[in-house]
Amino acid sequence: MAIRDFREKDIRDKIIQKVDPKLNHGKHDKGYIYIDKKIVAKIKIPNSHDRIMHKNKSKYIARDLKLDDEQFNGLIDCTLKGDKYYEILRDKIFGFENV
Amino acid sequence: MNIDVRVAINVDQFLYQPITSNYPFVTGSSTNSNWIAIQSESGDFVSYNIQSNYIYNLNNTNYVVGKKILVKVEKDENNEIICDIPEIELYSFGKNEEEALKQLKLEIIDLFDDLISIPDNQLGASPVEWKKYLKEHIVKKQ
Repeated sequence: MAIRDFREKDIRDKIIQKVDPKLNHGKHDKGYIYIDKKIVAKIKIPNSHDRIMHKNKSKYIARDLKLDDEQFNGLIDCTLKGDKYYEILRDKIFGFENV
Repeated sequence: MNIDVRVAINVDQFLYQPITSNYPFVTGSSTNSNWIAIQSESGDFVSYNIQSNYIYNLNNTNYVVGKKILVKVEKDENNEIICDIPEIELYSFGKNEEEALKQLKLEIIDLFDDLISIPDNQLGASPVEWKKYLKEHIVKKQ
């Protein structure tokens, strides 16, 4: 399943609500994602526009979040909750560090 | 259509698309660009045009690029340009390549300054690698 088209503002809102990164505001808001008080990922957050973001762009946000296409769709669609997101992230981070 | 090339591919030093499925794809190249066509489950081929460029400076006299930085340049469905440095997972968008690269340079400086100011024990594995990469490529003047 490929990443679907989403409105930029929906992507923004869901990331802020569920991932809750520590934000630096600028031309584009950016933030760092923490686990156990360590920075484990960074995220560039779209602005609050109604325009559609297609896969070629949103795949980079999915990469930032360390989610595959289906998980990213779920995060924006609401089927993937914040606590589940952090479970996935924790698995990926610890999996990576243990390689 | 039968296409029997089914391995992960390397385009101009980028391991661009981690193909783990059995979807067929084809690749090709011209003088300054490479392309990949990937067949979706519906049978349609989607082609991606990928070019590369290098960053030799950051448009900021306080920083020196000691080792050129390879950038992947891609055009999206709306003809917007995406510049990406996969090694540090940093990307930018722009109406043209110049605009995207200008923004990317600002992002590089922001990331460099952020990471340099944070001890390694407060960084996960990926951020430590980003920091190492940036320190290998960039020097900040005192």
